[in-house]
Amino acid sequence: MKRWILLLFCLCFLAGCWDRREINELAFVSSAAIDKDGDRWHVTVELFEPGGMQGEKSNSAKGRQGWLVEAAGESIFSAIRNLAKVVPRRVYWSHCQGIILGEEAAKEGLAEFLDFCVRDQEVRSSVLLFVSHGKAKKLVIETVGSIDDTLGLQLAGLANIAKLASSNLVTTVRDFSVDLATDGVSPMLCGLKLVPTKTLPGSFSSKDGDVKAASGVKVQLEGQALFRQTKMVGWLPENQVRGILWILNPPTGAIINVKVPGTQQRVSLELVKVRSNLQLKANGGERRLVIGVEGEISLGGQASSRNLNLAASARSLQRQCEAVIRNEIQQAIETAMKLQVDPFGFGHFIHTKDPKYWHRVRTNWPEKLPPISYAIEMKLVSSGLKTGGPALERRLDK
Amino acid sequence: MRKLRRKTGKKVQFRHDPAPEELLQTLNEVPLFSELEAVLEKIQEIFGQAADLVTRRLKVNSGQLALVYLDGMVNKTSVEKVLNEILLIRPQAEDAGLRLGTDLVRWLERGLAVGNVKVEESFGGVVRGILNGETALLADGEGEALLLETEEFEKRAVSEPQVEALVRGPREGFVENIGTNLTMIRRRLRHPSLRVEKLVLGDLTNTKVAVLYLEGVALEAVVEEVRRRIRQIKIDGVLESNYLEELIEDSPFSIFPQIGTTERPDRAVASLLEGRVLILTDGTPFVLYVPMIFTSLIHSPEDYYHRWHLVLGIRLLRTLGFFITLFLPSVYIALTTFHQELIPTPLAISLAMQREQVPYPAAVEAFLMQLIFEILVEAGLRLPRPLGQAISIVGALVIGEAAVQAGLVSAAMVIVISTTAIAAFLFPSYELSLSVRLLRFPMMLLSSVLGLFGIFYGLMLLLTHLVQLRSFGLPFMTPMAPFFARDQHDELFRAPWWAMRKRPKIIGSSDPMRQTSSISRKHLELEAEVEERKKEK
Repeated sequence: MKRWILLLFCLCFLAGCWDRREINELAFVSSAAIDKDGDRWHVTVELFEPGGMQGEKSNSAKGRQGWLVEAAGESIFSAIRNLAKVVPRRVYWSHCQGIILGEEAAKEGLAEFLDFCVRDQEVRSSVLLFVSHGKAKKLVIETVGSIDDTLGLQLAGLANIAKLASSNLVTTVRDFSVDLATDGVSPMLCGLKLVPTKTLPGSFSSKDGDVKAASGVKVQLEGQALFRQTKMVGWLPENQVRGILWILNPPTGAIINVKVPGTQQRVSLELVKVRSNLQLKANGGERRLVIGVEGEISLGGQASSRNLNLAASARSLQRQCEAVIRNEIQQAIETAMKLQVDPFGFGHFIHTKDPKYWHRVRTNWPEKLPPISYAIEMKLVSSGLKTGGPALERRLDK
Repeated sequence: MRKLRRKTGKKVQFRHDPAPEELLQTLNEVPLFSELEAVLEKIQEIFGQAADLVTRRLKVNSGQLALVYLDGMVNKTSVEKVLNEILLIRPQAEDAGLRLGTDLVRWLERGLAVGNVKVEESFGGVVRGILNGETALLADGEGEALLLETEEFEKRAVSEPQVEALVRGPREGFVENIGTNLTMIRRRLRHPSLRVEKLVLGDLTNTKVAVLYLEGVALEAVVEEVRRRIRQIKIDGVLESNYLEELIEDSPFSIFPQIGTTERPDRAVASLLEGRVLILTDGTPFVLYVPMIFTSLIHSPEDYYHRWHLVLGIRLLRTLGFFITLFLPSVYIALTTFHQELIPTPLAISLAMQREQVPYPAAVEAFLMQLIFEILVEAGLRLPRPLGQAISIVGALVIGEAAVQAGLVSAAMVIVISTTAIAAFLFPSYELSLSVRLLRFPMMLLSSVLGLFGIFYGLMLLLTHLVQLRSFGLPFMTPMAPFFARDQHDELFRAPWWAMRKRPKIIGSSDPMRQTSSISRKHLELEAEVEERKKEK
């Protein structure tokens, strides 16, 4: 018994509190921007500002919170260390929501950055990565507030909701490094762009009850940065991103606009359910990649007075929808081929299905991409909560 | 003492001879004298001319008699009845021609209208009897005394238990009087197999102690072990059952109680039915039961009186309460000072914000608050009742509000400490909540030095200790470690009564079945029949 007590005491005093740091002695990084200027790395971090967030949160938004700090260094790690010259607290990365990489830095190569992220114990592998159009620093500095307090929280929110918008595929450090390590996949990152914002209720100050409109810029997800190994090679433009999504992460909830059969009027269709699959068909030495997408669509909103539930119009809508999807995929593949990358992971798929064939083609992948055929099948299953045409039209008809 | 001796020049006698502890023992060997006056004188001398010792001398035809008793310990009516008999009825019989002579005592033994009469031949027996509230009837020239059962003294009425209060169930609690307590148990367990072994403990207090068990249900080995351990006790006084508890428990250094205490007769009888042994002590409403297991500390008698579905939730809540009380402050310290990455981001920011103004490390803050809370609890217990409100106001305002505003502690810490404090009183057993409240401090120390690692280190030590504990030979963590699938019906949840058909595995092994027939569900069959009739129509 005595020995146990003695041991316990030794444990308390010999161990020391080497790792102890009070929570209020930390500066939590919310988001960070990393740029490269010639030889030097520039790190701009947005720190949560605990004191500044003490105010009441009655009105929806009070503008952006947080403290911006910048440091530079020869390597990324030394740049981050140099932050300590400015920040009076220990810069703490575990709660960092997103890291934005400058386009130039991305184009020069992210090997060092990624290695740092994976090696460092504080940076999480689940941290979101973005590539900015232009300098990343500008993005962090100039963005005005939204309903979230900091840019980091804003990014995390955008990443969560990106699936609904079916516009982008937001990737994390882990996704990126897994893609890098996998044979036959080119990594990609989500793009971020500054867009001017008008006096939307995202940013106003309500001191003295006087609602003043503040204009500024906000970030927006736009495009996907395509990488060959660790180097960025180009952008997949906004309107083609969905082409990748159809294969990698079929966007349930996506809206597809088509024409009402026989007219020039528009009808929007919502994807209720969607599934994709790849198949590799062999024919002697030849291979053929079959991209299959199947799903169910529902009528969203239409401008004509036609009853689109009828079998004939339904078939037409389905066919049009299939064509749109096919077109989007084709365009995305075209862009990727031009840049000589394979963000779809076709190579990886072929590797798992037919390793022998893969070893024949892998040296000049993705040039040797086999011919692709499509098997896209959409089915109109619902007309929403009502049938027939728009109510207004019907009244006018009378 | 040495100084004193030097001054007086001779050995100062500090020891009374014989020592009080041995006095009754010595007197046992002294037979009663035959002359009445000498006996009375000796008794007076033994009691040191005590003011409440009543000696009543009587003269009847055939000789000298005397009644000796302690004022306040006897029922006056009983004594008067005896007097009446001796003074009035006796002479009439003698006048009628009966000569009783030296057979006086024998005659009285047969002829007195008193519940119980004992014959004693030594001073020891007589003195003990008088101390127990009996009346000694002495006769000249006999060398024998009669001890008449006239015992009666003031006692508290049976009232509702204070510590083990519950919503549904009997409202009766044990009292300080062992006789009353025994009858409360007897009333609930009307069976001749209930064994009651009485003994006297404490050389000076001569406290009555009773060992109760159900013959054929309790393990003979356990009963024998209880007897053996109690027999070894040699102490001047036993004022509360905890004296016995600490003297006979298996691991005297453990912080956990290994002997159950209860002030509820229903719980006491339930333990008897499970095969446990009860130890009743005169002078306290707290009855001991052995062997005890850890889970009975989080079981309440109420669990058996409510619908069984509920009990699962309540017991889970208590288990959760155990962990909250033990670990919440330490986990809070560990998370805020070592593992900030484990806190969800918004909470981390909010915590950092609250701690902005606090000058002390989280560990110091926690210790401070915990200390203040323990002070409040202790003071609340000791304060005269009318002042209780003052304490709650001071507690709520000073600690809850002002401390946060003054920047001494963070609001989150107040929440943590108060949750912990309340959770500690979730257990039906006050002993357990005391142990856990105490254990919290080393846990907080460990976590403030080593973080989560320290907590797990502490948890491992605690578990190691718990599984090696024994209560009268029974592993303390039964039926979890060792694991008995059969006993799980009354562990974290309680099975409905119709499913709990067996006694606990080890202690109930001499007669494992509680219910020998399964409950018939005739009414269900009837319903089925009704349904069938309907179909036929």
